[in-house]
Amino acid sequence: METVIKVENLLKRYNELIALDNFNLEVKEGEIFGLLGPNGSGKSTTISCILGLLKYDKGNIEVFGKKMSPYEYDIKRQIGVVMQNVAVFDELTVYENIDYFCGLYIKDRSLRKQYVKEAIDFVNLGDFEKFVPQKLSGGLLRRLNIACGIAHKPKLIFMDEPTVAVDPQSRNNILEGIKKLNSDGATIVYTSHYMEEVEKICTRIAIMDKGKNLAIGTKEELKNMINLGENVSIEILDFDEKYIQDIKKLPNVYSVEYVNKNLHVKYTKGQRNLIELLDFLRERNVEFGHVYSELPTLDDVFLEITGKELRDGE
Amino acid sequence: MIVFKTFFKILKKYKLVIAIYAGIFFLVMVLTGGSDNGVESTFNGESIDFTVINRDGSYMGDAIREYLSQGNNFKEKKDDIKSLRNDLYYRDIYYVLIVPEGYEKSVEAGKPMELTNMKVKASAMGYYMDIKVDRFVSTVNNYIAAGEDLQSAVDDAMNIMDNETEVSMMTDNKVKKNPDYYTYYTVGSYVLVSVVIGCVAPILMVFGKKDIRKRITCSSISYKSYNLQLAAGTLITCMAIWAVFNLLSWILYNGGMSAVEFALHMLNTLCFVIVAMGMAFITGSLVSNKMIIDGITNVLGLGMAFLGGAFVPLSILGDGIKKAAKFIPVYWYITGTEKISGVENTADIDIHGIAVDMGVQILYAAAIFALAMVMIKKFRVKES
Repeated sequence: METVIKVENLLKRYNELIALDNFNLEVKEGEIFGLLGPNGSGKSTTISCILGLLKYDKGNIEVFGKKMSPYEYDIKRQIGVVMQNVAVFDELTVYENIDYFCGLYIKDRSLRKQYVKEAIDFVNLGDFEKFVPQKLSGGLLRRLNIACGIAHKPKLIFMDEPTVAVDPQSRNNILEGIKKLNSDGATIVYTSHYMEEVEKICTRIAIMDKGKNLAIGTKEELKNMINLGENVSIEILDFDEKYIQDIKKLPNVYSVEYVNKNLHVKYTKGQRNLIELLDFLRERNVEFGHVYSELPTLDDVFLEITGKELRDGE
Repeated sequence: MIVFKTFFKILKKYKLVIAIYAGIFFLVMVLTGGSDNGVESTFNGESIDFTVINRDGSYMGDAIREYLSQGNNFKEKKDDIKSLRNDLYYRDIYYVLIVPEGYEKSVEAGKPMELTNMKVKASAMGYYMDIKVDRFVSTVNNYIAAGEDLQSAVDDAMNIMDNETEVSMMTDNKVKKNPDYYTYYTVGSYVLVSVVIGCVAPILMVFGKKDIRKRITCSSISYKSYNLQLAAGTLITCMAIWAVFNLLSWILYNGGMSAVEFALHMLNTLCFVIVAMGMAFITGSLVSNKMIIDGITNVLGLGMAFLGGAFVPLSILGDGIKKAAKFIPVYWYITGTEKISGVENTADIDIHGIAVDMGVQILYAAAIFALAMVMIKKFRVKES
């Protein structure tokens, strides 16, 4: 796979504040690359530098193998941007908005017409073509924002929190659409603070904080980087909390708590953890109901690596 | 040319704004059209509608009526107080004088009875009539006291008080009588500023919104092409406004002005439209709220028009205001318009003066554009 974006030793200062500190990044062709980080971690600054919206102090940015600058219009032609804030003209209709943003890249009228139609179909806004943005709901507006960013069929798409304030149904449509764009050949750089979204669609993820790239890899690779095993939850209606200390002494147990008639046990890595816990309960005649076991989530990874809850930060 | 085309798509949405300003303009034209720009050349005295109820049926009563009729308008009314009150209420008459029975005899005796009157409340006209009546009666009284009989006294009083006041108009040689289209062009300064800012600034504001601008910067359209397309849209819009304004003048006053005069007016309005374009540019680039733009449009349009002499002739403005007005581009537009309007032959045209007026306007436009560039740069740096 070819490298689509290569960022090397990027340094960006805002007066005394270092927004990006020798930041490195490599995005390969065909990836859906997730950029995760709390507020102020440098995600937007990174994207702005790559897009040529911001000057940087040091480092090198290459896109499609060429050095990126604000005047590299050939490179920009292959890039689509879906901003976090909906950026459309209130005075124009849905069709006119998509046509305008597509027209910034595509001069051929008939080709543009076809692309606009496809973008409208892609985001399922066919019934709203003649509506002005003020008449659209939040979800539809987000879809229009996406259509404006991708109508010209870019090879590289930056999506900065495209699902903020969107209802679950629209969010699923958008995520499915992103997957479709990717399967059609687009490389996508995706930022979100909805961890489950990133986990669902991203093929590789970078975790950023304080302008640095703390970890990078597939979600499995990231989960392997931290010293956490599965999380086990067992429904116990009548539990004597004196057993908690004994459970803590079991192999690989990281933490134990009993909340709302449920026993939660977190493990570090290891094998047969669940079997040993269930044996422990049976031996003490503790009756239990449902048992759940799940691998650590990206939330756990993020918390472990940055020491912060992503949602709280954002 | 997508930016250029979109500029006009958005402009279409402001049809209403253009229609409103055009409507205001025509209203102002209608209201000011007959006033000949406030320069009066004749004087007409005002006459007061009145009646006299002569209960005495005497010669003296008739004499008073006859005297009051000079310059005023006597109306025959019945001797009915209720009906007279109604007439006063509905302003059919403004003054009622009641001559009581035995009045003539009391005058002859040198002790005139009190005359009763009714007048429109708080009306200056009634008091003016009171003064006239008092003067006439006291004059008659003086003649009688001097030994004349009533008839001679009345006749003499009528003769000496028959003199009509001569009114001579104080004329200022600096105020020439301006032709009809002078008002069109002076009041037009308000319309030009309002329509140009009202149409162009909101569109530039829309294109200048931070998120839209960011997205455009990310796109493959070059800065040069983008700015040129926006500039072309702005320029064509302003030129269209200028053309329509002058075309309308040509239609309304065709034959009223010479071709040279019309051409000079076109040039003068062109300079002024460029100034207005600069104002629209700075407003649209720095303001991010349509309501604020509307406010600025009204303040700039009306404020400059009042101070610059668009609504009140420069000749009657105070020296202090005139000095301040020189710092407003409208002033130079209006002085240019004054110099161009009503010139009967080409040799009389003050080309040098007109060129200075137009030149100052262009300098103003250049200064506004330069200021806009500096402010936009500072604003954008601060924003990023």
